Amino acid sequence: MSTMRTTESVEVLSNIALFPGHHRITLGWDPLTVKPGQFVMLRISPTFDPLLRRPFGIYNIKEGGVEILYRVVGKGTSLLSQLKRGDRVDVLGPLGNGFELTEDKDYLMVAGGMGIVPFYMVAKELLRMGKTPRLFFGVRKEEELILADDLKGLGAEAEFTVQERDGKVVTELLESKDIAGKHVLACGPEGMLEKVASICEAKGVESFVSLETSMACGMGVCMGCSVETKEGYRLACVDGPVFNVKELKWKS
Amino acid sequence: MEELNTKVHITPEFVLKNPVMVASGTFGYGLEFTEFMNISQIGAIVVKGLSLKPRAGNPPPRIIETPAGLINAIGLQNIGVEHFVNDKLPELRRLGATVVANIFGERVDEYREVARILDGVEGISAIEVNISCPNVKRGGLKFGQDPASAREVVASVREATGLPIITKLSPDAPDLKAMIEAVEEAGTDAISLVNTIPAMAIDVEKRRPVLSTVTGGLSGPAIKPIALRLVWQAASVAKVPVIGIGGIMNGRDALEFIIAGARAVQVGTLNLVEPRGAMKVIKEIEAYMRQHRIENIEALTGSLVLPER
Repeated sequence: MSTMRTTESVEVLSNIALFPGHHRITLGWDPLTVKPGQFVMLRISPTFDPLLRRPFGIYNIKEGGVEILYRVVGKGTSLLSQLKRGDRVDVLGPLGNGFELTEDKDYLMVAGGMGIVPFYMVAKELLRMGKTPRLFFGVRKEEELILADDLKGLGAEAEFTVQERDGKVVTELLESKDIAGKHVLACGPEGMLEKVASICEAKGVESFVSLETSMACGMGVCMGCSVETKEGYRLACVDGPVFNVKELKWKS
Repeated sequence: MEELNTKVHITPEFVLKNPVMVASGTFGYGLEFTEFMNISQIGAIVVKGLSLKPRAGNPPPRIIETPAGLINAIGLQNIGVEHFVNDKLPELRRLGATVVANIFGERVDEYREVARILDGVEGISAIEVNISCPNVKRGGLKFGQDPASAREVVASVREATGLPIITKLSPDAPDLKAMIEAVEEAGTDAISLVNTIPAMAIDVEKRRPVLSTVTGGLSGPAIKPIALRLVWQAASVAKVPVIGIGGIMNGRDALEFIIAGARAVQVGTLNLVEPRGAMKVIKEIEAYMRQHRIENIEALTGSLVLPER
């Protein structure tokens, strides 16, 4: 468990729409350390509705700020999208285990839609290790491809599939490739992750997935974010959100 | 003005440094919060419900937020009483925390056995007997709805331990007065209420319950007015001290319960939203005492002024 967690009120530095329903917010927050794949819990409003904090993956750390990409899905994210420069939110984090990256392994990132979020920091870490980041990215609509622009800007080798244009999803892309020897890191909708897990198992490669669950506290206290594993329930907030698929028991 | 006296007596021996406790199931085993505060400053930490053997809890989904509320169906997932005593309690003791062990059993003899294990253990100040969890198939709420069963559970715990006993009651008991009389006769030293209120949520697209267990327990600000009414009624009939619980989010909420008759309060859902929330509640109570020149917090308990008839 991280010992660098804090909770503090921070200023919104910017909050812009990337395309309809998708935004990037920059918070004036300076955490000591953040691992790729970690998340924060944001208290968006001091009122009781919404009552709980909301979990968000950390997209990027830069000088003087932390960036978060989010999609508007409900009341909390809708309120978040209305915040302006100078407004404040309360941040709790960094939380969760994040992706474990080591020098001796060869990684392949597989993302579906907003599942791209943790991979910008993963890619930066891989570059720091002298590796070329490789990404398979699947989106539904063409406009979502903009989400991978920053990764391309880093020099990541990326292959895309747009479901509405190409009639193909990212798991089909993964299935068609030779990925022998890779360690697959995946983030996206649960159905996609389950497919990634079975493809990787069939191809005999290791895979790690970042799961999304509903969450109340984010710090292992309420035990609300349980994930079924072969050794019983684990908590997505402290034991995850990244799990080796070998540990997981899928619903179907 | 003299120094504020925030001490409250649950029993003559069991004295809290202030009236703000943290509720079971919302504060883990206490150690999860040490990065955020000095946990010895909390009135008492009621740890996650402990059973004789570790419990896995319920399948997901276990939680759903509703307006100003949270429905949970955790199912008393816990590491078991012995693991707690061996691996968590020494650190809590070292940090000077006031610890109340919340206990749970599926059968009367399990409650007795857990209480026996905790009896005489250094660092446990009291036992809170949970007869009101809505999220388990056996035990739990079943004991909390029937005074005769509740009496049997509390009497068996009383037999097993000399520690102060707090009995945690359900808001769903058909006859609260009979329930309180039963647990008092069985030897409880205090009562705490309310546990969560049985509740549910439905996904209309799928026409399915949101929670894996169909129903769960509602907590948070949504239940506060109901909890307050029950605490007020309980305090009017109880001979033992009452600990008020239900949706307390700030000092003023806590004061409402105290004025209604609670000797102490527990904050729960607040801990999940604000890790330092309990400390904020304590500070706000102290500010109120200063503002209203109240030197002793116990003078406020039950100080409600009712309209004349």
